[in-house]
Amino acid sequence: MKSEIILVDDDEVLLVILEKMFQKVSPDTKLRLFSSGMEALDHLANSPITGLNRFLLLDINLKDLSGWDFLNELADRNDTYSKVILITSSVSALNSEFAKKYTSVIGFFEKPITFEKIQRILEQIREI
Amino acid sequence: MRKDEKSYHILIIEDNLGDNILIEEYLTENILNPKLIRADTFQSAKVLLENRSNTFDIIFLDLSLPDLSGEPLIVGVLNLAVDTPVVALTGFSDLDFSIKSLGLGISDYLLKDELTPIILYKSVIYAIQRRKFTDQIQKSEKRYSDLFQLSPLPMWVYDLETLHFLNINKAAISHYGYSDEEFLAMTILDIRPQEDAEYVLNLISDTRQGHKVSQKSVSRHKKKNGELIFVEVTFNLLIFNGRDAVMVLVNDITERAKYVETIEKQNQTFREIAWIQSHVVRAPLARLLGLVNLLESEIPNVKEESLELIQHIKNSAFELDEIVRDISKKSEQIEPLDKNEI
Repeated sequence: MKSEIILVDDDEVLLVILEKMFQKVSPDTKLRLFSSGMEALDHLANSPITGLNRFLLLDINLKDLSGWDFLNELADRNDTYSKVILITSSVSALNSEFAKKYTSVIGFFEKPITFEKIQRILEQIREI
Repeated sequence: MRKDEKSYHILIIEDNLGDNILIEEYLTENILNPKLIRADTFQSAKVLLENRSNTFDIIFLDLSLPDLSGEPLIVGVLNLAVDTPVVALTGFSDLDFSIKSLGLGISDYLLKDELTPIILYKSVIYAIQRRKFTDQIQKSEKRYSDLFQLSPLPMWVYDLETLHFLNINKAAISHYGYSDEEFLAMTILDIRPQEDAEYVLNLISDTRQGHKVSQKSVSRHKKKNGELIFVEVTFNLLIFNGRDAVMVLVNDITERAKYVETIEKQNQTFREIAWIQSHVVRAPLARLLGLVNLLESEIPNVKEESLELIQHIKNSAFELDEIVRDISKKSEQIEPLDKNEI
């Protein structure tokens, strides 16, 4: 199945790394890269809802708005098609507990994102 | 009847020789060996009483002497007698005044015309015993008063109804800077910051209605110089001079509170450092680890020696990651202080 994944991280180098990794593991996966949370939200708002799920890899600590603000905005929009996998550079256990409050969150990964983690992310997406 | 064998030192201040002889005779009927000393004027009595080597168990005082009589005489003798009981000797004509003299501090009065040996003896015993008893009460009162006055912690008593200070100890006066008179003119609201008044009044109202109020609390008080202090207050209800009152013991914990505040600030800084460790430092590190992971995947295309270098970079990055995790874990263990436990 051809799936599209939206990557949101303000770390441009990390976007490049992720892009390369996805290309190696799953060349068919279409990627959209955003270094700004606002731009990613705009993109979601402007793309027509097709009834299919949209998958996001979202960094919790964005410069323009936090990952939590991003999730709150999705909840406010009643956007049930956007499924979010959170990624964080934090080693604090609090984050994963907090993330459970959001129904849109389907996964939580700690950086670094490795090939092995990308495999797991893809598996998780396939299961939905 | 067996005579009392105790040695009584008795001063008789009486100018009438006949009365003097009569009293002596009556006294010796019940007392084996009374040590009697006579004075026939106020002046001679004064000389005797001012001489420290003379101690008397009781003083008999005729209320009219050639050089002094009436109230000035009583006051004069009482001042000189200090703790020795004084019994007035009087005629019928002075009866009203004799009763009044009890109010001045006379232990008893005896009508000369009704004097009998047994009445005189009873009066001696009674006056001496009563004086011992009141001495004990006074000593006991003084002891309790000292406990209050000399307490190193500020203490006071205030009226539950009017909130006026009723009694203040020395520590309170030196700690708050108000004089005794100033305190007595104030209510407890005057040592509170204005914004706390409502809270205090609610608490007082609960206390008046008999609600259980915690007998220990932390409050803010204001000294005379305007300085605000944090105090731990312990109080108890009591009846003071017939009024519902509250006794308060104050422990100044301002220094302690400052200390706690400093620790809190430091902990806050620690938590900030922890956050930086956990998020900020680790972001470029995670990036580095990702890059290494990516490089490894290029392995078929890299040379043998470069591969070794990549391995070194990877090991160093993992080592650094472990260190960051350790620091982060440790700093997460810093918990906010529980203020109630301090």
